[in-house]
Amino acid sequence: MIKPNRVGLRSGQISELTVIVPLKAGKDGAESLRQKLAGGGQNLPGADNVGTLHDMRFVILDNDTKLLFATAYDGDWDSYITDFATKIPDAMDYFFSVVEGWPGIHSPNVYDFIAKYQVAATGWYVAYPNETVASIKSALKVRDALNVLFNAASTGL
Amino acid sequence: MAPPAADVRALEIEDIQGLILRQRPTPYVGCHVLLHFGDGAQGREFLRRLLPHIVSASSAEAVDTWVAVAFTFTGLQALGVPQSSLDSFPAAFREGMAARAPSFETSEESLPAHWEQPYGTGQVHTWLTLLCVSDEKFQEKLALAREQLSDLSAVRVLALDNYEQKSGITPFGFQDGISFPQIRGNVETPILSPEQPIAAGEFVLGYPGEKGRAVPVPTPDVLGRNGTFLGFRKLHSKVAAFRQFLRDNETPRLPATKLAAKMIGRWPSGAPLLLAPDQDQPELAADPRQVNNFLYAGDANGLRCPLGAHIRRMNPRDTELPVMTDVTLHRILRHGTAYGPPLPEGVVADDGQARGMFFIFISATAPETYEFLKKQWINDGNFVGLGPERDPIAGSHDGQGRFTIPMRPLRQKVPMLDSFVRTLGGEYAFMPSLSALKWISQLPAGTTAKQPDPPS
Repeated sequence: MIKPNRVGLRSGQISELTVIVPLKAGKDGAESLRQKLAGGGQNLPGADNVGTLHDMRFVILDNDTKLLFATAYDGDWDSYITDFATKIPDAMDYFFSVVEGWPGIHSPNVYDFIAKYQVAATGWYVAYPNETVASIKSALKVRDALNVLFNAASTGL
Repeated sequence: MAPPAADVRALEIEDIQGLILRQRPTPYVGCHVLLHFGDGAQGREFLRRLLPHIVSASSAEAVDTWVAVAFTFTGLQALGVPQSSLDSFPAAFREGMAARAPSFETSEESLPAHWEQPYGTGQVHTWLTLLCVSDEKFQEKLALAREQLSDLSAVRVLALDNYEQKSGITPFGFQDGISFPQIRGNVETPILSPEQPIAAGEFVLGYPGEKGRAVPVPTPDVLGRNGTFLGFRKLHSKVAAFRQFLRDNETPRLPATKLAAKMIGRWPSGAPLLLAPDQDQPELAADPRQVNNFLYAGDANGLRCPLGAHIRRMNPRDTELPVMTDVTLHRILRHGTAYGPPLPEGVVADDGQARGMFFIFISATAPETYEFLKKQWINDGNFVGLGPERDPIAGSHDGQGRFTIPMRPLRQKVPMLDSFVRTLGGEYAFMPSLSALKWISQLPAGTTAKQPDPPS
């Protein structure tokens, strides 16, 4: 079942968040973001620690004036935002300081700021809507342990 | 790492209500009272008479009677708090617990449509607790309160529920109220725990929160500063169903009492599973240096205390969580009291008696923190790597649930078919400082907003 999660869609345990935000003009905007995300094809360091992010996509639009940020993540988007704000305040502000009017991750207005620029997806496909990042990691651990067990058992055959 | 200098600003304890920072005196006898102000002027007069009895955190030690008071949003409206101030309160508090409940109550029977009167009707304006060191003193103060109310006919008592210290045992038979967060800079050190103290701003408005977090303070400053938020919930405990569940699911390696302890995380005496994994140790529970003095570092897999146990969910302490979490942001000060006669030992058939808990919780962000706990840590298990598994004792179970108990050689999964707790009602309230109480009591007449009619 897909139901609205504030503005974004939700499928099972997973939600999508899409925002289109204005970028600061000149060096502080698109150019700065490109530098911060240099090496684009690789995974963003540190994002793995969040533990609820399935993916994140940064797309610079309209002649460097706008950013499309899209992510699929577990749960409700505002549940853990205060936790991110105390655990990784610098990382949040590091990436989003390129956004025009970014209030700062410690601002009480940060939820409303994000919501203001949020656009709901019209269509969305999730292969495993009830598997969270945590449950996938835990299933992989079981698979790896089983492989170790089977490898050990099969060497004697 | 030393906290930033701003974090250690001295708490203005003479202005902060005692219940926030101090442990209740023992023994105690008391009552919770819910009040309605039919008239703003009489409400303010009541407040003026009440003020000398409100105990501050600085005087709490010296007195034999504690009075604490908090107002719902409709209560602040009834008392004539100006609209600009009302607008400065956080949305969850303004909307009220009943309006918010559908977002966090997952079982039909706990929804506001089935709540007891007067909860959720907008009629509850004030929550007040009166607590005395002896029954004699309590009766004396209660008589005084009745006398003080006699000429204020518009100040109506909607509900009055008595409690006493022995109600520190939950209806399920477990010692409650052991763990108490240590607030940085507090005058009182709670029960010994290796956990780090938490920034005062997480519990009192107007102080820095954890790691630079700014908790919004209602305006004007005199109204918001040194206050906090409180929530109270009346819960029905299905003790017979709980005992029947234990009977149905006990096994030789997990007898009923141990199964129950695995669900809670502590034994009936309060001894934590982390320190007493095999059997109850009442002498350990009675020792304030031991009963809360533990971390989960050596128990990452939950072999002693399951990751899904109630106390480990509500305060994971140092547990390594798969979801980025700052555990210091989700703590509440708890002041629960039990009501109703205990179900006699051994009885597994419901006797139809009303019994349960008045669950009272305090935090500078009490409504938001409670809703977080309910949604993320009670009715979900992803944060401890347990998927959709719910809190075995406090969660809503709809027949599909499981409770995972890590054991050697193999873990046990117990089917959770029924909920053991039902919500009968609740409200969010604002607990002002002593100077804010005075400010409210002196608000000019004629500013009282029209009271909305109660829903039919």
